[in-house]
Amino acid sequence: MREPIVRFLERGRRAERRDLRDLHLKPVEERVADGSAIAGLRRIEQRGDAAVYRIPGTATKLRPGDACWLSSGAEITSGRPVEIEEIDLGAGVLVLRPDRFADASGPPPEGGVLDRRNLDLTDHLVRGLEPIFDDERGRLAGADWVRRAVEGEAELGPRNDRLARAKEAVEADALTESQREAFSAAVAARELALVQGPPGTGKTRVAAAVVLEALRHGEKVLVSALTHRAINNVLAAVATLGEKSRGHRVFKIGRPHQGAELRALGIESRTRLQKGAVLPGEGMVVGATTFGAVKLRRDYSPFDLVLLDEAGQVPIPHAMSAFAGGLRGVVVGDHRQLGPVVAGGGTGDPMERSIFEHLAERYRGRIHLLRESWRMNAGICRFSSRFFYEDAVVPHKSAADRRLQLDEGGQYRAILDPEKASVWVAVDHLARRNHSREEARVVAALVRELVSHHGVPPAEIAVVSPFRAHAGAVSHELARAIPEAAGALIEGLVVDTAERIQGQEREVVLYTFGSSDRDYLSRNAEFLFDPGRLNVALTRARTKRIIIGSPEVARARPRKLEALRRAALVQALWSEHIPIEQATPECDTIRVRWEE
Amino acid sequence: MNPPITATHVYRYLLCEHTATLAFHGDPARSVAPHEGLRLLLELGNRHEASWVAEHCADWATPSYPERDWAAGLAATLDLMRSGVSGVLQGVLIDVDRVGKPDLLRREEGPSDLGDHHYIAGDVKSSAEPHTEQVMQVLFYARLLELLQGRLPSYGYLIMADGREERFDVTSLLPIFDEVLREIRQIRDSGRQTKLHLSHQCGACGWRVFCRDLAQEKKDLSLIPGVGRGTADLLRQTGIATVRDLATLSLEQGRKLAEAEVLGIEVLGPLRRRARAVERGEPTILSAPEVPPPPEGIYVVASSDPRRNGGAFLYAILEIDRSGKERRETLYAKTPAEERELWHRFLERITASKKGNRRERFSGIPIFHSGGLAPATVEAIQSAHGGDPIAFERVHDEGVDLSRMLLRSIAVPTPSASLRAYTSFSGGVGADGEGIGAGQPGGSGFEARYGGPFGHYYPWHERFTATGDEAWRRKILAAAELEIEALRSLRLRLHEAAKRAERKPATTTRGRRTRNGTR
Repeated sequence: MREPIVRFLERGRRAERRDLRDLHLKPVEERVADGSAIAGLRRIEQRGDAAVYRIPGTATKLRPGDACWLSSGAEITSGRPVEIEEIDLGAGVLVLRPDRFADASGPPPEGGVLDRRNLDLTDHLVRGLEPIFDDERGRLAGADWVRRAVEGEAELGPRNDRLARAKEAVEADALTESQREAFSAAVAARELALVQGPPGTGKTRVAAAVVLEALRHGEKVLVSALTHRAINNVLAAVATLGEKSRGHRVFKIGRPHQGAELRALGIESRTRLQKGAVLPGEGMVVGATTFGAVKLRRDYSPFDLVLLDEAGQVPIPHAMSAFAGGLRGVVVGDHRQLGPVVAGGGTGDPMERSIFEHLAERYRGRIHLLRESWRMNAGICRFSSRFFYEDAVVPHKSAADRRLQLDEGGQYRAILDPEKASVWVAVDHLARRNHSREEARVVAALVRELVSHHGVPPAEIAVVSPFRAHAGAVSHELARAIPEAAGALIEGLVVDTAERIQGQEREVVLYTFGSSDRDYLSRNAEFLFDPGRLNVALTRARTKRIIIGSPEVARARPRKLEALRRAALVQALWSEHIPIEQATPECDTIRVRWEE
Repeated sequence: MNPPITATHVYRYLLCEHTATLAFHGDPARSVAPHEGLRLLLELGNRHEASWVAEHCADWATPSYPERDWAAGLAATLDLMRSGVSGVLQGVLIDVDRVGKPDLLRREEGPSDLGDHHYIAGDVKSSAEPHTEQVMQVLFYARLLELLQGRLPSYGYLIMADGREERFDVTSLLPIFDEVLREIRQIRDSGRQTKLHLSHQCGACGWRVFCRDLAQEKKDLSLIPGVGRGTADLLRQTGIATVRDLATLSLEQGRKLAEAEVLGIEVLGPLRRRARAVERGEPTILSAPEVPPPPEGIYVVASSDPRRNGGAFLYAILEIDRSGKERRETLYAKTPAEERELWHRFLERITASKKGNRRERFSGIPIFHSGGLAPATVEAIQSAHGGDPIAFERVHDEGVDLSRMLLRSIAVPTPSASLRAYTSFSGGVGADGEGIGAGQPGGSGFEARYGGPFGHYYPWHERFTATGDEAWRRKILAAAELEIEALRSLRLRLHEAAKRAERKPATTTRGRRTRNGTR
């Protein structure tokens, strides 16, 4: 088992190193245009050891938490290693902290260029996996179940004592039937339980219920995921729902800015957990990333339960590293949404799959699917249910007939009609690769009408695109069409890629492809038409989904079979939307040709 | 009466839509025979099919009928299908305007107009992975089967080079196929206009000479590397239809196009420079190449069997040290069993061994190639054969793909920025004489398919391993030598270009590691 994992991790490390080296060889202007660097930093303030810089308001791929170099722009790796704490492009402000592990002395630079840096945690991860590779150590640590789990031999069946607990659990009272079934299986499982949560089906609710039930019985629970956001969602749900968990301890491992939203719920972030933070027999929940979990194990192993969330995005080795700290695992996720980001991927190595996808294949037929979506109405739910969940997901009765509330009139009534849950707006353009001004203008026109005429709150609208460049073009057109877009009136309107919007929902979502060059579409079909990305983009809306794309999108013919399958999915999405001239009044998915 | 559409029309249409126009409306006399490399590959494909069929289809039947009498062929095929044979080889399926001859019709249980069984269509291919054009051929047969047996097959299949079966769902892919068939019919019946567009697919097409000559005569936009079909269509809409039109675009015109949002200045600028290079017949520097100064360097020509991951059988090496002293070596595996040892020897040769102090001597010497040592390729070879991890990482991290550098840095006056094309422009003799000489369009897809720009490495290698005829091995080694020289020449020209651009070649990040191991 060790060899394929180490090979996979080493390959990723090599690919990241090479990609970064190639990137750093490009001129500064190209790196900035690519979004992997920010130039023109100017220090304006010092806040403790954090330095505040003024920056130009250009779009960037850099995000809070990213490790970077601050340099002159030429000798990049001779610069100061820093971490981004905050970034506000609208205000033109960036806050940087020194890298915790670096030995940087002296005052922070007055300015310079910020470039992406690799944070190579491969060795740390491999060390965390050693107890699993070593049979004896694994057995002593209680982690031998992890190997069995990954090899498809874990015991999924219930322990009777725990099954009885699950049946009596008050946490299950407010759950739907499929949620209750998943909850019982998760509580009662001897070694492993798998809970698949399609969009809007309340997997966080179920995860929180499982954690609370364990807390009530004095268990130590590790909540882990790849990102702080995912962990914070579960901890917030535990704190919000857990009236009965008062008195139990909830901790978050991380830096303060990585758990800011938990502070109001009484959960502080800590960089480490002291031994003895809880009394024996007292329940405890700790939230830590898969990397953070390795360090935690020194003082707090084994946990009675490891709950791994957003497991559809967690690579196998990272998941195993988190599991190694516990005696049993509950894996919550959905392999039909966005998968893990793997450097040097595309080799067909099974290690490139997420832990959820891997386990879903190993334990086929024994996954607990949450079937009712509380988010989407019937028209929006239908396509995803059919193409990603074999028609097994249905809208909850409270959501099925929900309609967008609009005022009368409007220039684009045919498109915004609340009775038409999903509309494809066909926009003609040619040879556009990763952005289209034509589509951006359509988005701006529709958003302007939604906000200005119909009074839809901007915070209830999201615009999603596969390309960062296209998201930038949309933002530009929104600013032109809605002058107040730069101000508070449009605050909360999200314009971003599917990667940034997974887990969120809005009343209205516009998905704009931004591409029409058939050769480009065919070459990039595996990315552009990735089923997980498409599923996420199409399932964010509660009552109204507007797809904006050229007819060329539905005519892509990539060369590889897997890419062709993906292109066929988009073709099916196109066909699902009936041309408005042919649609019956009952039809809730229509296609409209955009005319200036 | 319109000529029938065949699966081959579908196959070729997906590679280039203009083939349909030429097939139905062109002069067949203008189509040329396959060149040697393609011919060898076709023969290899035939042998693979024959061998696979002999092993797996011993009890299958082949319909007997007069040559090209498709109606008789259909009748014979249907007779066999109704009788319920295990399978039919080279059966004939026809409809009003379509003729198909699938390699394989395999019997499956499940009712149809034939009885309690039906047939699934498949083809035998010699590629490593399934391609869309191959899948669409099988869908072509599936639609005919639907008519003839009254039941649409639920799946289709391809037998690949390694003998494995790749299945695919028919229903979900049919909408795309039906659209393709509709387009081909439009071309055949109502004369829908398509345009020629030179691409890397041209190397395998019988119309390549015709299209190349026509493109040269018209100074077609596709002579410019980087101009895809979509961009060409867009430019034509604005009245820019030839190389000259684009090459002579003024800044003012460019600004107007950008303001009208036809194409951004960041795209038009480089395209114009590329057009000028083609127009003038002279290379133009786009950006200063990051290439270490000569003479020190290791030039490598590596070639792999495209049917197998990690199947590298050739490493030709020219090593030049700081003093200019040259050392040449060629490592060649006659059989797949020898490839592992070959890779280990290559790694040892290319970098330090643990025995002497060669690590110091060779560390930092750039390794130049033209794609044969791409990271994904060396990853696959290392996965297959193992090897010194330090040496492998050096090859992986420090290999310099000169073809990619050429594409980024220089606008070449040829339709392709491949090593073959550039050398054919700058002068050189290919092992088979094809495509060599000023202004001849090359094809990087040809190279990818045949394993090298100068020779036909892979098909020649296959012939050598199959027959033991040393003449094939000599061809490979001679071609590799030429390619090595072309690599060396290209490196020198790129360095000259860098100097002309007055930018210091990047050596700063090589061989220098920082605290956390990044460069």
